[in-house]
Amino acid sequence: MTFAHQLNLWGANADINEGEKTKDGRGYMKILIAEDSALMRRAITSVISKLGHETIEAENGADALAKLRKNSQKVGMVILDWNMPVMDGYQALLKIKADDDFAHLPVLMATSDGAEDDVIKAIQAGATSYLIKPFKPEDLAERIEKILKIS
Amino acid sequence: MNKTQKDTIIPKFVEALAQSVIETIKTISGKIVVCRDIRRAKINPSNANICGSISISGSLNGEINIVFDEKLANKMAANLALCDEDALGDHDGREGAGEIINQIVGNTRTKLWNLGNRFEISLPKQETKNSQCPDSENDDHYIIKFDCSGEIFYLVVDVQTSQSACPSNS
Repeated sequence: MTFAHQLNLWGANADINEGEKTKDGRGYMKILIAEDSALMRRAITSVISKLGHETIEAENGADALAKLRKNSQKVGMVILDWNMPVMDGYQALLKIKADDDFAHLPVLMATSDGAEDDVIKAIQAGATSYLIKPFKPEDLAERIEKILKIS
Repeated sequence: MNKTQKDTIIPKFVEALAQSVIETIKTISGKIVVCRDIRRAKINPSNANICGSISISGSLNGEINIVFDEKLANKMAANLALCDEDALGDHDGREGAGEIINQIVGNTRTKLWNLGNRFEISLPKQETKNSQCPDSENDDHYIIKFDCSGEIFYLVVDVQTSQSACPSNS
């Protein structure tokens, strides 16, 4: 966990929709959430909507990829749970980073497992950051803001 | 793994689990959680009816269950979803129990990583009315009782080391 928090890798470029602004004047964005828990999707959506952005919800990695393809011009960031049915978050991350259309998207891994091997695997695969569940809403908001600020 | 390691790994795992419960529930609910009792028993001690369970495999094998009564399960689900209890659906209490056990065991995996106790985690399951809650003759269950601001819930741990789970016939 400390390892994850020590990481400060905010290198990716988010695809902010120019011309549409949030209340504080920044770009409005759609953020894709892949999370099998409907309760967690609701919580993450609540945090993101307070930041002035919209969400697209997916129940697993395969669903996320399908929705990403459907909304390829709109999504500016992806949040992935790790432990999901059908396709887990790590497999989805690999596919996103292998696709020229989506490789530029910042990906936040939000998962309960912070074992070093998983964190390293995710960062090496191209994840922008890693957040350990359970997280406080303000921690998620701060992490998203940091990613958007850099991008 | 030698006998001494096998004798200590499960108590260490249970201790790490208990610590993860305290931290996880505190973050989710904002309330202080206290571990009241850890004991070994055969029977699920609770008449609670919401149970979230998850399996592990690797250096340890078995199942971990969290058992709430319905009222506390709904409170936790609302805390997880950042909404009022009125906004919950019929199955959200169960789903919350599944997500919470997933977070607890994920955090425990992280804690035990540096001790070399590495295991994989299944997808969580959620059940009602004890249908999946342990109630067997296996007296290796650890029953851990927690108090969250006066509301009681339990963790039921049924795990073995890989060696003890697959005994040799020789």
